[in-house]
Amino acid sequence: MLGLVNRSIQNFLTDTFGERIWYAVACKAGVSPEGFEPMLSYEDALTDRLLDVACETLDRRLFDFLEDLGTYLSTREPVRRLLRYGGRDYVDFLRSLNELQGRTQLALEDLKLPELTLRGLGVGRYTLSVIGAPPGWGAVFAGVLRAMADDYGALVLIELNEHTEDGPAGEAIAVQLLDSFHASGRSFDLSDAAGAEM
Amino acid sequence: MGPTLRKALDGDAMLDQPFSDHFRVGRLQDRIEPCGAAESCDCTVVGGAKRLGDCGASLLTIANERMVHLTLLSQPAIGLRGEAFALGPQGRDGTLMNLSFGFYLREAVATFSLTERDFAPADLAMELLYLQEAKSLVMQELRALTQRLDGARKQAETQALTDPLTALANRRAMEAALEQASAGAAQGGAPFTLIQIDLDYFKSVNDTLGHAAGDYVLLDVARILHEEMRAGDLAGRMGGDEFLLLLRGAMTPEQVMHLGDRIIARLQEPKWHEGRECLVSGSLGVVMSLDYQPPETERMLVDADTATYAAKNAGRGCCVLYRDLEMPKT
Repeated sequence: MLGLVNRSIQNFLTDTFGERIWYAVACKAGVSPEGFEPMLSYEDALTDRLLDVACETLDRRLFDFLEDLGTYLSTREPVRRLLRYGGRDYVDFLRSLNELQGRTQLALEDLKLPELTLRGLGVGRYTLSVIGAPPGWGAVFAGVLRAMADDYGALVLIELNEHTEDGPAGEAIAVQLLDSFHASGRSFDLSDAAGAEM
Repeated sequence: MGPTLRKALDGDAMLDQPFSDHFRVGRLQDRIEPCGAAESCDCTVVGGAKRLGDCGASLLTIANERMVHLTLLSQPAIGLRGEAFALGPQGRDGTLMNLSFGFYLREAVATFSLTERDFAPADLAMELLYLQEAKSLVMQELRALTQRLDGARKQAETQALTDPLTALANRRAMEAALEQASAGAAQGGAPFTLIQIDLDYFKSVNDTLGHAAGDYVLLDVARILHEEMRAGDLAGRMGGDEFLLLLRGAMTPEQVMHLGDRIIARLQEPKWHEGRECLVSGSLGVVMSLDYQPPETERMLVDADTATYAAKNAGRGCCVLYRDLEMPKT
């Protein structure tokens, strides 16, 4: 797993639960307190261990933890901006998820995001299939979809199905769009200097 | 058909063939939904037979979409994206599409041997390719730099925790390990034992035979301690001629005393430096974490020191358990 993923978990723990929790988790998982280098690769088993220890320490279910991680990530300004490249409104954004894997590949070849496929199921109803290893990406994206709904000011119902017909690695997120323009949402301007506030 | 697509797909042979023989609407992994506008779909009737939903959507319906995705049936790994316009009323005169390779650009250029000439001067494709290639190079350099820095940091960390002469753990490393062991034991983890070792007669070796002989003795002591440690144990030099052993896991006092006696015997073995015999021994003081509720590093170190002095006072070359010192008082 690319260190960027592990580093995200590290930052989530530090920013949300405090340094002490991160140190405790790092210590138990056998990771040095400095944590991970985003651009180096680490064994997948280390990520699994990190997540296990974090959930045990915080007494959380893995999928709940991952969903909060997804929300955390999409509220970081640099990530939020990249996600807002998806389009003008929430439906555009949902459709753009089809391209997310390809686009991230352009930027970071080593970051293996899951394959995302959006299907329309009739008026305002969609399902996003998430296929990738290890399991749990679906939960992360459920968090991302929730946070981005707030960002766009859309009112949605989001439900994660942990098991789908796409096999063991497949998860699906049911999205029901109740109101695209429920609230005003946050602003996004293409020209706002990217990377100015990393 | 434009020149680039023509080059990529052997366009001359494709002309006048049904659209759905060469393209699929949607990405490869998209499920084909039955054609919504089946009645009016211009690709549903092929050779007189109805082929519902072959293209996923009628060419007319995709003209209403903001963006259209196509997959090349001859190269399913490559997709196209762009915009479709209906020509004439109800698209009767056909559908015009303006397409690009999107993020498949690099694959497309490689697969179809495309060159600069295959892109319109106003197209940003060349800039995108250039940017991607340059970015990959920069990333490679940064990654190598990160690796070098990471290696250097780990090396510096190791150096900061190692006694330069004996290569045993230094005081800082021992204190950190001790804190960790205490915290673990306090939370119901494995108990541990500390043995403090003060070398006897080391000062006289240093004074009479010189520092080189002294260093030689310290190195030999380090080798002995290192050999006596089990996996998980840690031996450190706390400074001068003082050493500390951290033994993890449960031990009986008898086992500890036995180990202590063996270490003393080995310390007393004759050591020869440049033809002159260096005679040393050791006074050992022992504390065990199970005697403390909870184990506190500072207190244990003070008690280990007290036990070591008791060993020196008892004639040197012996091992004293702090627990035995306390006995008469309780």
